Amino acid sequence: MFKYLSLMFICVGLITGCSNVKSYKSVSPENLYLKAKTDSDVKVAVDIYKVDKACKLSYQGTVEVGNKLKKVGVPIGNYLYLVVSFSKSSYWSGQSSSMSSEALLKPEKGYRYQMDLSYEDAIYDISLKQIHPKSGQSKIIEQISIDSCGK
Amino acid sequence: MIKYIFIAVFLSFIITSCSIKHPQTAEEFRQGAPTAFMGTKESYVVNRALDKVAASWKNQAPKCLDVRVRSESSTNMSYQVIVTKYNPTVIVSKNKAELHLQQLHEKGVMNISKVPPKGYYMMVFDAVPVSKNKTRIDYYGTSLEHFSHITKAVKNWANGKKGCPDLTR
Repeated sequence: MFKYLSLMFICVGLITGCSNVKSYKSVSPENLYLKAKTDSDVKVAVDIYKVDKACKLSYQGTVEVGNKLKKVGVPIGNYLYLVVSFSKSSYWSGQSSSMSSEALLKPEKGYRYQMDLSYEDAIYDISLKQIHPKSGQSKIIEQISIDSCGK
Repeated sequence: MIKYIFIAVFLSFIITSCSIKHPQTAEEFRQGAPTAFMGTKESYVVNRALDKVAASWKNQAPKCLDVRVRSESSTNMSYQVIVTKYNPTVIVSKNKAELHLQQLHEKGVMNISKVPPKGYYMMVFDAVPVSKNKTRIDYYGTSLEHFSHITKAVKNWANGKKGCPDLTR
């Protein structure tokens, strides 16, 4: 009986997920728009971290991005660290791989941010823009590594 | 992916004439690549000035090539994880721009020869002016089709386009 209870606990643990991935909990207003255009075997996710004054990261959650526009709200006025990952896996070959690219973003009040992610023919592109909703004016935000935090 | 990491390491051996010594500098790599088995030197001209090509490389290389790739492979009998850090370097002088790509295996690959500080050399690109608005690019590396998306992306940058090669492929 005890053996079966232990097995049940292990199964529950596996089903509920031992992974550290959690869905990002959006805040208001929705100021980060994400959209991906990819080959069919590629999955795209964006991990969102808060960055404190000492450049220490705290994981806030992950947003799965597909070819439909996804809107989430991120806090204004503080640096965020966004890690975009493109991943592929093949059940038949038993192989999986993922690669990531990062960006620092400091969202400002009154703006929305558009992240367009593409992956076609083994070449990908990440575009992050700051857009003023009323005027429609936009500027490209260059990707900056976390290494430049605090400098 | 894992298969190609081994091929890349194997190629580095071949480029160094099978003497279990990897090129320690970009110059050593330039000298070894053209005559090596599956190594090559290719040249082409783009219709942009050298300073623009250099600016594109400086902008795109850190963004696209400064990445860490984790590859997993599992069968009934084995499970393998390889972590590779790719390290690009762009050097710009008055009459030349260079882009070096190195790969540093952080996990899952046994390094049996001296590894340069930023990893084994994979590719070297040199850009030199041909005229005011034309630049010649010399590529040193492998002729394997598998890595062609990397050389294509670097050529795209030289032509002013964007987009990054998928280094997990």
